[in-house]
Amino acid sequence: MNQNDDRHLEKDQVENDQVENDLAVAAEVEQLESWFADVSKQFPEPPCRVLEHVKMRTNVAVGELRLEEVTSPLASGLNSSSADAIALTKSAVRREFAGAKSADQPAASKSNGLAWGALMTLASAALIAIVVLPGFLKSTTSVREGEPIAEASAVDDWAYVLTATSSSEFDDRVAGFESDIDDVSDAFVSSQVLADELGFDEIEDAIDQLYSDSDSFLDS
Amino acid sequence: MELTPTRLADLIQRAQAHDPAAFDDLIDAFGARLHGYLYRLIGSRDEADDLLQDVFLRVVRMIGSYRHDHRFEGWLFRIATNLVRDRIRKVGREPKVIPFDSGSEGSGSAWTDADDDTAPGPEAAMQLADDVDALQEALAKLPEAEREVIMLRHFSDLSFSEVAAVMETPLGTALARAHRGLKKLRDMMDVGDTRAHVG
Repeated sequence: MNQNDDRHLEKDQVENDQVENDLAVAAEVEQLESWFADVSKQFPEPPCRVLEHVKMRTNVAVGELRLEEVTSPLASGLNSSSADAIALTKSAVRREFAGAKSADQPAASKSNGLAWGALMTLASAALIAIVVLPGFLKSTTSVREGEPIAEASAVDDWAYVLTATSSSEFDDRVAGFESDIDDVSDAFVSSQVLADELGFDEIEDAIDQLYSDSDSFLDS
Repeated sequence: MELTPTRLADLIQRAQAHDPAAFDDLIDAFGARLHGYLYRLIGSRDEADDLLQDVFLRVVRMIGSYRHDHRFEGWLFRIATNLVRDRIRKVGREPKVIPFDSGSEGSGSAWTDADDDTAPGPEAAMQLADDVDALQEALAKLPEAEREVIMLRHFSDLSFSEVAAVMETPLGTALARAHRGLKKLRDMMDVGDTRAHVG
């Protein structure tokens, strides 16, 4: 028998001793637990009186979890709508100036007038999506924050659902909207520079009108 | 309704799908025992009420990440144990001993609610108050780890191996703590009895 076998035997012996010791302790503990069970019957702890309350609070928490599940897709949907509107506006601006460059001056003036009408409608829709709606939601949220869901009115529930995520998430979303607004502003500035270069008075007037409309929306 | 392993697995699955009725059933199945466990560890009925609510709110948040391996009860009591440890750490004290008729415990006595038909009469209540104080006082004198293992064994259906897992200790340690704690408890209660007889 070599030293390795000796060490194994010693280890086994220690483990066996430990198990036997554990079993002996377990047997004693069993007796002591039996004594404690009798003592506990004599000295009962107070009955639980809050189970129904705990159920109610748990149900509210489950409801909040469900709301969060609904909110996430809605929030991402709102972001994608505004992004779509901005992309649409930008592509319309690009198309319009590309067309203006290649067309004759009088014809371009006429078609530009019509096209800019459509463009302004698109831009206004984009501004509503990215400026007015978030502002409305933000003002609604500050009132609703922390208010129990059950007390929310049907109309306000819509805003609550949209904004029930954490304030940091909301701040991120607002930052996203601000970035989107910057993109649109950049597009407008580029458009104006190009219009100045081309000397299209009608386009300049239309852009001025667009700025004016934007300011009105922002003020409102 | 008896909570068989199959029914428990079904309840857990439904709870993970955020079914409120499943949580109600889990509260019915485990709420009273958890409350007793929390009360014995903390020594205050009001705090046990609060902690019981916290336990199930945590269950709501964490049930999605729970993988059922037939150790749900251990998982539940581990949440309760961690909450008690946090509370004791935060408050920085051992469980307090609440006199039976103390006005500081919300509605007063735990056993004398007006709508409780099983409430003892005034004399029996006074006697019970002394007895309860003795047990709670003895429990409060035990080290936290010993009190935990004794209470886990008493209020849960966990084996010693499972209790050891909940407490994150080796089996031998859990056994030794239970053995030591219960012997101390018996000695303290025996001394109390002797004093009562002599008095």
